[in-house]
Amino acid sequence: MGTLIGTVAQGVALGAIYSLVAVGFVIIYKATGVFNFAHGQFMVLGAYFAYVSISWVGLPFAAGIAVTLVITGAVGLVVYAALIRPLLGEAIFAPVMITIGLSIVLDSIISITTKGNTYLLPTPVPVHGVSIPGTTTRVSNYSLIAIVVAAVFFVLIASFFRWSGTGRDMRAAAENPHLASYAGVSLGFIFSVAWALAAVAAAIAGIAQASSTLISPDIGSVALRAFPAALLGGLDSVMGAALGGVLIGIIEMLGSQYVGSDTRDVFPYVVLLVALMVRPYGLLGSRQVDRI
Amino acid sequence: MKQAAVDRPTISAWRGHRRLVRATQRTRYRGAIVVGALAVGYAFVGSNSNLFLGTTIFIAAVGAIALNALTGNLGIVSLGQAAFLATGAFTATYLGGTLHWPFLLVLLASGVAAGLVGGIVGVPSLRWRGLYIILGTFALHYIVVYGATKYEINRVGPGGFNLPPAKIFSWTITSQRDWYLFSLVLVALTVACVAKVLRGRTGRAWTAVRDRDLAASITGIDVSRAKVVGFIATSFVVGVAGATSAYFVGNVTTETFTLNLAIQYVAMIIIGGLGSVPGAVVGAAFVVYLPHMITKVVGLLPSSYPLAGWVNTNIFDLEAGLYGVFIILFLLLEPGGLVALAQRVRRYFVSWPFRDRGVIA
Repeated sequence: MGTLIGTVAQGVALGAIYSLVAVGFVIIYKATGVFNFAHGQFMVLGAYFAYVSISWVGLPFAAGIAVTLVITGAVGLVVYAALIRPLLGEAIFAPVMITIGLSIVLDSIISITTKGNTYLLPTPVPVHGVSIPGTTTRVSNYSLIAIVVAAVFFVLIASFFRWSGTGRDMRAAAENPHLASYAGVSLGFIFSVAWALAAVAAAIAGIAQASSTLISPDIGSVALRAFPAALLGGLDSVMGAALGGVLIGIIEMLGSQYVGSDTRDVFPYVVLLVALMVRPYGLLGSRQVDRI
Repeated sequence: MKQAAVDRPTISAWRGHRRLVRATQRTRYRGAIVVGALAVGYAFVGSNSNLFLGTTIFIAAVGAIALNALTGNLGIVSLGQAAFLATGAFTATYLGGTLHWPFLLVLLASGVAAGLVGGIVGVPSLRWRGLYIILGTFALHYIVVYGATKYEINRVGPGGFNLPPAKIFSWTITSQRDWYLFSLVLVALTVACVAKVLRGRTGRAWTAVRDRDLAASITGIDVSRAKVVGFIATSFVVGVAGATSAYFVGNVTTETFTLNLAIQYVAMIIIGGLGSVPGAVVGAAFVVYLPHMITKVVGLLPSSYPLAGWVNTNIFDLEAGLYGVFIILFLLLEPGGLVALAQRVRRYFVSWPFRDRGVIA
């Protein structure tokens, strides 16, 4: 029983990071209908920017993170303006493939500039954490922080969509871009905000992941495992991303605990395939209706 | 409102049209024969390393043609290419390496195995659309590679499987020239079959499904059948390519079948030209040759040139990243790929000195 609780707790911690990644997919998908395959590379960029601004430039931790979020958001904007905007309105194939191409290019740029070196992100809190009462499992401070950060981020983003003017415009544009633009919503602005926001979410996830391990190009692979999270929750649902992330995190940890540690690479995808067969639009996603 | 005059096709206009179609077909066949003859002739003059390269290109082209039919013609974007190649290759290791089936039979059976896997994804994919299909094939990739890795570790360990030499009746395919000729035959067969299917009733049905599946179903096309058959048929061809490649290399490990491999095939069809059979072949040649091209270009630079050293130290990353650049450039600037680019160049010269605006009269 103790093992089970500990495993679930680790799963939730992992799931917190997955949901942060998944919400990035959701924001971009809701706005522009594109699945961003370069999201993992945005995470890696965020982590490296954080390292540069804190360790090289010497900014205090919080300021370094803030600068990183701004820069990564700007990268998201540039990517949108240069690559995605010219292809909007075309078949879904082209912009999605562009993001795949971009992920390859960013991978090799990251690999060339960092020469494959890994770095340790200097963090203000000690790593060792608390043990869960009644179990032998310890949860590191960074897992706890990741959970808190994810929770705060989701509250913020949900309030943003719920109450802010831009958030309302974004929901309107997601539902029906044409009607929204007739009502005076600037689609170009909405799309840019979405890409910047998603890049910021990616940077947060990248930093959260990097603070518990090392900064290396490998942290982008977390995004590959967060794909199932975004789809399981429903690609057009922000809360679905949170739910899907946590579920996938728990399933992955349970699988690696009770089935075999090497199943963690494949378990999320099996769950995803089964879930998609039963509910092709995800747990909280909205069903698509075809009209002639 | 005044009714616009409708041009009714007259009998003579119809005859003229048929003549034109036949003439185009003749030129097309003539072109194919010339290219084929040149390719055969090259087998007897090319160096061993070039023949090796040619074989690699031909086998890749077989896979790319199938993927292009699935993506470019039927409109199903698949990131499962590496999974289907792996299915073919691993079936070949079992049937050819363990059970010692004859080579050609192994190729067929590997294709059937991959076709089965294609059917297994094809059926659930009927409920998915667009993006979800891409991600479904993406999930398939991880599941198949995981299964193959397990199988490999349990049976032979990380070195992978070795395959016996390929043997057709009494002809053992050993030299580079043999392999070049065999893969040339294979690619010619694939081109002929796929082009035939795409130009016929099935191909037209696929195009209709790609452009608007709902409208296609209203015109009486069985969309589900088209999609499942498309998945099975193209996976079959990809499986054959995977098995052939396994025999050609002589060794199979799961490390070959990465997501990047699947993306490289997508790059081939984007760069070559979506929905075009010759485009797939050209794209395969382009992507396979790209690393060599980089080395060649760098070789031209004087070694004192500061960039040359930088390129040499980062050659692997550059090779890995460059086809991403080409994916982006082609999608943004010439979505029709090299085939469309060639047509544009041709039109420019044909219509010279007039500016051609790309309107087909």
